[in-house]
Amino acid sequence: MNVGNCQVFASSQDKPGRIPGISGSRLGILLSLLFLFSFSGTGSAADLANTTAEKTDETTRKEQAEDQNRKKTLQLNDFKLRGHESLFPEQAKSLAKGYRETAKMLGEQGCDPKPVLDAAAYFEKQSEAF
Amino acid sequence: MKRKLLAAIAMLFTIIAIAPAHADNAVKLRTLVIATGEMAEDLGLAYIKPVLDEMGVPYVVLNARTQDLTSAFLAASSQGMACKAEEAGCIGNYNGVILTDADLVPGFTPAEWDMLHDYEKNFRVREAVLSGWPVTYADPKAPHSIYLDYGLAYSSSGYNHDARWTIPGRYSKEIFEYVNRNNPLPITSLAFATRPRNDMKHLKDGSIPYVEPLLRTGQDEALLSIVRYMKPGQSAPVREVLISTITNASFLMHSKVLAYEFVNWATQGVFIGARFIHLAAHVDDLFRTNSQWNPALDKENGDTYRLTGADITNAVDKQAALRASHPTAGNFKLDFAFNGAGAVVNPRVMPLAANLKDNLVAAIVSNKMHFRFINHTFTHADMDKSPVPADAPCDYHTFTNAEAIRAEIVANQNVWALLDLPERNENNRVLVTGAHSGLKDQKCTDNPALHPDMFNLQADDIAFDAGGANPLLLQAAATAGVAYLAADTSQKAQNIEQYITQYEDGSKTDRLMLPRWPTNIFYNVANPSQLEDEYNYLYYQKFISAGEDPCKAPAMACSPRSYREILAIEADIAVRHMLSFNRWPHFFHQSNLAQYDKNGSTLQFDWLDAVFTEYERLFNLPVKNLPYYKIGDYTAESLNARSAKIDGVWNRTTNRAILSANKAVPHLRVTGLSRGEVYGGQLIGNISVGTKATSYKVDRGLTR
Repeated sequence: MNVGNCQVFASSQDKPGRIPGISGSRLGILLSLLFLFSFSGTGSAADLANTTAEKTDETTRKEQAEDQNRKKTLQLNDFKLRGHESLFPEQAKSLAKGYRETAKMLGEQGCDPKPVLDAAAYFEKQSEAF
Repeated sequence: MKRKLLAAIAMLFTIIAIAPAHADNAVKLRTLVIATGEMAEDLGLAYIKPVLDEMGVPYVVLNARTQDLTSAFLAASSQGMACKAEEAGCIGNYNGVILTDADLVPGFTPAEWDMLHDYEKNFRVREAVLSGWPVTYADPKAPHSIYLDYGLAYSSSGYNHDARWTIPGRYSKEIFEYVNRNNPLPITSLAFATRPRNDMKHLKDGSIPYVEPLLRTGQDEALLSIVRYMKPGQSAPVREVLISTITNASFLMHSKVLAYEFVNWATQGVFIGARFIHLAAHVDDLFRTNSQWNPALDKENGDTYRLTGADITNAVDKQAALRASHPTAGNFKLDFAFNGAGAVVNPRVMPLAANLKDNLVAAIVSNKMHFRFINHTFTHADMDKSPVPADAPCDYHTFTNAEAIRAEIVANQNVWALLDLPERNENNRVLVTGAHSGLKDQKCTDNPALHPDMFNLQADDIAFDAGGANPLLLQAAATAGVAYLAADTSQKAQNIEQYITQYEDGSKTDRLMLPRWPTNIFYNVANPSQLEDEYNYLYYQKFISAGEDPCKAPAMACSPRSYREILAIEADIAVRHMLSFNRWPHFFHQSNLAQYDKNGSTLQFDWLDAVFTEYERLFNLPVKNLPYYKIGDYTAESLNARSAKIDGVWNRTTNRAILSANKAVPHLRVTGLSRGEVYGGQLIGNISVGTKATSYKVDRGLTR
């Protein structure tokens, strides 16, 4: 039996060699725009554009660095607080067990259980980490 | 043909005759949580249970692994028989369903799923799924019809997403109104990213899941979605589900952001209980001096700091700037827990006289309306138990009778009057003892310099719940009229709002313990370099020196941290506290309010600014900043409501909620009642209920 829905993996719709989510025609338009922006304009206008681009790059880099730091902080506190949860190892173990049950069920339904088995392995590992 | 028509008319009349003239179309204001196990086994249950408890939402947990779902469990007549919404007198037992897992295998059978879905359709009750795999399951028996389908196709797995809010306009007044949708929500746990199928595959009841993602990955995959089960030719869904395919747990920030909506969505915004976001900052030891950390020596070296008048006027300006730069801060005020001995001419000479020549005292009196105040005892004396025997060595002086302790409390109340500080009468009910002393027994060891052999001075403490509190303090507090006593959440058994019943204090009433959060902005630091040094000494260097791994210490500082990093970590923790919805304040010390640069920067306002900045990245909900006595009053009200059995029924035909309780509950918060306080686009009523049922108009706030 195959329920027919479980094997529709959205990412698998993208063919090899393509950027996921961008179709061939869209890719063409994107490259044309990039070409236009790369070579249009001369002299002071170009310098101004370059300076602005550099500033934008700098701002973007700074924002990205801040985002990364923020995420590091989040992950650190997640990890720290998880260590205080005395029930977590057992909960993670149960979750792993639950995902194995789900994988079994998916197998019976004719679906690919791999991502769920990966999740089970992930939580199994988590339960042993503390 | 005619015969067929007559038969159809006859059948119609039969249906009309059988159907009641007035079906109730009513559900109890109670949530059903279907779990995969007990708290120790189910991460989702451990996540949502404290949320429901804190908000005061009545709920029932069904453990799918050990209990069977029955129709009578969901809706039963007065005789206990399963019933349907269309039958007169049949009331649904739940106005919302929360599943801790998407497929509940192996505990939940296809028959149980059918039963649950029938109930949801029949009583128009919504479902929220906290986490799990986006399943589509077909019955193993022919004709293999689909009994469970969230309309999603798996796309990818990830542990690190910057999720974007993509809430459709139709839901903009109903869900996640309070989140800052301009910023991504970082997802830091395992999540199954999905794609809405939105195909024409239908479930066995003929409904087709139509998915609308609310939160998406950078690749446009759905992480949190609303699924509306539509039937051809019908404009209203037969069933509605909110499903998260993100792992949620109480220790995860994104889970804290999402938690409220699982309850709010499932209950359609009508439920007993409410949530508010709180932040209060208590600055302890006003009028005292605090010893100062010396970075060169890695210890205190006898230097002290006491705020100046200029620090106070600077704090007034900084407070105004904080309000101006943070729209959620409202009229935020600092609370000063003060020790009046430092505000009088001579603390040993009665009657006491205010020392208005002291520029700190004068500045406080001049600016008193900008702040709030709390009794922190007259001299900050230690209230711990006396040693046994009485002449045993002890790091601190102790009191041997309740009257002396009472004098410490009352003398400070007198200074309150002398300085004419605001809200004195209200605050006579509140006490913060020096260093929260008296709530545990330190066994006379609290000075590290006197015990170089002890790595952790708290190792020998006797906790509050092990008999460590000082009954003399509790007696003194009772006779001084103190109702609310501050506690330190970092101490064992002090991180619970609780009446202190286990100690005899000679009074008919019990003191209520009000926990406060500590931070790593230490009492003995006034500038970033001091803080950075002490933090890294305590959480890094001290462990290295002792040959231990600092990564395994409480702060998990695997390398020294900068002030900026420390502030970020502390702000993140504080926001998590805020998103737990409890009212507990954070406490600091007067040194933290010292200006440390020409811009008037202070550690205290650096922390507040960092906290509000981090909070406002995620939320736009106004932050409540309550005086401590009100925190006490509201806590007492919540505890009273939680101890009552409250019954509520929402009749959707009349759009009224009928509420009663097994005892008087003068202050019950109910979300979704007309004429309530508007908060986050919803109406929150503060009503009085008792044994007599009272009816209230429901307003889901969908137009606000």
